[in-house]
Amino acid sequence: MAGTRRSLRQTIDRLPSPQVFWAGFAIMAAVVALVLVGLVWMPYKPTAMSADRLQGISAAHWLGTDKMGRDILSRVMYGSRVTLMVALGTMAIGAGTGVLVGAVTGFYGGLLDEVVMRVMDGLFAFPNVLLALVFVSLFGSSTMHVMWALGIAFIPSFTRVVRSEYVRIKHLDYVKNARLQGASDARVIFVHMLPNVRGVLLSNVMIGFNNAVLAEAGLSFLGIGSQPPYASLGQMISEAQEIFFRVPTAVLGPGIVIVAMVLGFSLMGEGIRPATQSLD
Amino acid sequence: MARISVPMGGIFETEASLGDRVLEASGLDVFYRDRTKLLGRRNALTQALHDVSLTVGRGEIVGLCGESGCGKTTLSKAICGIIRDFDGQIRLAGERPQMVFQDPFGSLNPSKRIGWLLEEPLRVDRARSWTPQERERRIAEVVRQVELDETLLDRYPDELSGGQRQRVAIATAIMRNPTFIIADEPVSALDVTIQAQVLSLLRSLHEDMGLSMLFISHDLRVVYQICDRVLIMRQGRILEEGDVASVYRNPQHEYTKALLTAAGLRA
Repeated sequence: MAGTRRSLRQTIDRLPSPQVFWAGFAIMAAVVALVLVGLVWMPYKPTAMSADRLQGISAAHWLGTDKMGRDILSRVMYGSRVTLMVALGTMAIGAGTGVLVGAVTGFYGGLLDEVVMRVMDGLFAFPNVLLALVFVSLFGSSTMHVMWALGIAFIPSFTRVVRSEYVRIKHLDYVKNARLQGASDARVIFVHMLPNVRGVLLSNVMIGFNNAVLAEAGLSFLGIGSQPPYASLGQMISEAQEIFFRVPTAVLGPGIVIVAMVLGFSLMGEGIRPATQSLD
Repeated sequence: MARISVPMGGIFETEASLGDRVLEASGLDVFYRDRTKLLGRRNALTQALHDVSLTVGRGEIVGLCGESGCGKTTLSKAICGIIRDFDGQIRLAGERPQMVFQDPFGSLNPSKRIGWLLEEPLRVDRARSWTPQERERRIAEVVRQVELDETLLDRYPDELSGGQRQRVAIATAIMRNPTFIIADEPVSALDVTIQAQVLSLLRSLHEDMGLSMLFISHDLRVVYQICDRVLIMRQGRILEEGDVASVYRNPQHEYTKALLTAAGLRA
């Protein structure tokens, strides 16, 4: 049967600004490549100390070494992995729960909606960093706990966005029609309605991912989360402050990766945003 | 306006034995109340339907006419079970009727392919389960019946014209081979030439399948083309009812006369 199958590539090329999307995609691909290479090969063990301290760029240490003689490139590779994992985990927890709660409350409305949204408002009132601080001081400082804390802090914003989309589309004829045909509520919510929310959801995931990267870097800069000697990008910058003028790469290395992650995802988000706005 | 229907003790019965009728509704009242309550004061009720009764016979097309806001859509929603809060009695010979909506750009899910949309009524059929082969056969059959090009099955709704979309909407409504459907302004959003095609499609479905229809329209000329009987509604009440020919030739009510004059059917 002849027909038009819309591939992902075609969908992207139909965006108003595919170049912006592809630019962001290229930057993200470079960061992900760095992390993936780090999984199978790193020049040195990221925690291995040596006598070659505070070295500049050389053939042996591409980005130099820090004050304990650890290879900065290896630590950047490891730290990027930690930051990326935390950001992805945060999105999975925040967006996953947010979609579930927002979809159900938006669809049913009523008292359940009121109660849940007031709880979300309460949660929303805490700054992310404060919530993470409380979480970590209760459960101890680790990468996992930071991920959970940030993930929970992200739930309200996703819940709101998804809920308002559901409230908007639940009165449309195609939703009424699906119910009329006899589809169950769960089927209407997740099979019929969810695909029509994906545009808005996607651009919010892009923004949320950036916030998660920055929050994780900020928290580890403050010493919360990943603990020494393990590397995380924010923690590396924090440790390298005093050696900035002797080994600039110790700050620039992790700094550039953070900027690249945020910029890459921002551009991808920017590239798809106009399309989602014109969807309806 | 955010309005909610007021709970009442109406009787809704499907699979009723009605003899040569597919729908029997009597004494329907529906009230709305504004959702926003200010300072705990109860606000006034709006009555959308006043003691409405109607019947649709087997193989009959009944037109429901009136200006916007007269209760046409409320009535159709009550009949297909979307509004459950009514007083009175609705009895249907078969399952809840499927609807063909006015705007084919809103009634088809924009993120599903046409083939998926056509298969959905069979997937969620509560009366029986359909094997994949049966579904495929039934879809092919209906696609032929509504004169839809098979190559469109892989497309998305936004790649179809208004007329093609309305054919898809009609196809999903008749997919489970019903005896009775509701068409809510099915041609009002279409160009005049496409209107004629869709009307003749509905006409032929009526003749071939013996499909009964409640045909809602504000356009008396369209009603004249397709309906056997017509009900004139205003402000939630049925003013006049009868065979299309006699109502059009000899309207009893001033409002009906005004509508006919406005439609250019009466000097």
